[in-house]
Amino acid sequence: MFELLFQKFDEKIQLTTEEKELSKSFFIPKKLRRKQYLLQEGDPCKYVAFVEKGMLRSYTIDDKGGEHIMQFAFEGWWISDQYSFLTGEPSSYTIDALEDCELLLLTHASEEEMLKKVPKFERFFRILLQNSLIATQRRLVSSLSHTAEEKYTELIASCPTIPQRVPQHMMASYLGITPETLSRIRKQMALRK
Amino acid sequence: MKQTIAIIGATDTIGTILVQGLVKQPYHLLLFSQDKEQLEELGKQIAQENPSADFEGMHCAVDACWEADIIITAVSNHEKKSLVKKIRRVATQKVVMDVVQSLDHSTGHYQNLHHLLPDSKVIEVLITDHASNFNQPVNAFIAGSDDEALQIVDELLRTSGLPTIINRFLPVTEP
Repeated sequence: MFELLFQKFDEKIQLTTEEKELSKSFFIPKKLRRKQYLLQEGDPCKYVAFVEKGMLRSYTIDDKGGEHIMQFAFEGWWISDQYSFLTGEPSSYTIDALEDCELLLLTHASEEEMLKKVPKFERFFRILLQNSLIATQRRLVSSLSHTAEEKYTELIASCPTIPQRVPQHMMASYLGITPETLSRIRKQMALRK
Repeated sequence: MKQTIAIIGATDTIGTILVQGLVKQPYHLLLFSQDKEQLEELGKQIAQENPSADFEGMHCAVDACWEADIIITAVSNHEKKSLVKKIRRVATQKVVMDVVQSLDHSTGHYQNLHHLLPDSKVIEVLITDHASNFNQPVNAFIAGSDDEALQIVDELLRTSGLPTIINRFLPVTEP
């Protein structure tokens, strides 16, 4: 249940066996079925979720009912609405499962408790936050100034299995392009190979 | 957002009362019982009386508790220890509402699940003897140390039709 999470811990910090065992007690193990919600827009975001198995997405819905995908989260990734999580304000996002998932959830209170009891996690979460900030910056730059093909290439580079697991219209939503444009780009790239 | 509640021991007397009350509320219910036939019968009865009810029978208590946000254990004392051993790792940080089946009549004490589920938010619930007669008023005494969990269980019981009395200091039998 904690294999991938501990792998991620080991990449950044060195924990003793006792510290790893203790860390288990802070996370809520949660199985979510495909299409079930982890967070609905308007509710406060109570959890930061780590994905042991499965895939989720976070998205907003505009006035016309159109979905705009902010993020995908695969095995080993984290997903949340950081602003809502930290402030308790209603979330602007919805997070739901695109596949059956096994998640490990952390509440704000549990995170604080974990940091107190095992101070090494300060470094881990600091690095996580840094990476999240960098990723957000890169996405913003990409969104503002890269071509549709460049955006698609970056997406595939970040997770090569995306085309097999995510429907085309969702990839298009994430990239901010129409499904038709994405289809054209993929055909052109395939022809060039 | 809709909460998922696992009711383990759904076909036991108290379990059934809770199911019938909670099924009218906006929860997603996962029902488990060792008696599969009785569970199926209960399912048919609920579906007939509440066509829009959001519930399903589960084959595995561990899966039910893994999916659940809140866990209700309404099984007999002798089943409880083995159940709790199985579900412990998927019940971490979750509210576990433990229905106390009986008090020790000589001491007035009851068995407490806290030591068996140290990482869960255990709320003990004692439902009075009138439970077997649906026409009599039923009360629930609840006890636990986590304020938020107490409120959650209090609301759960009230929405299922049981008035509750919060009492933090129910006398406890040492394990």
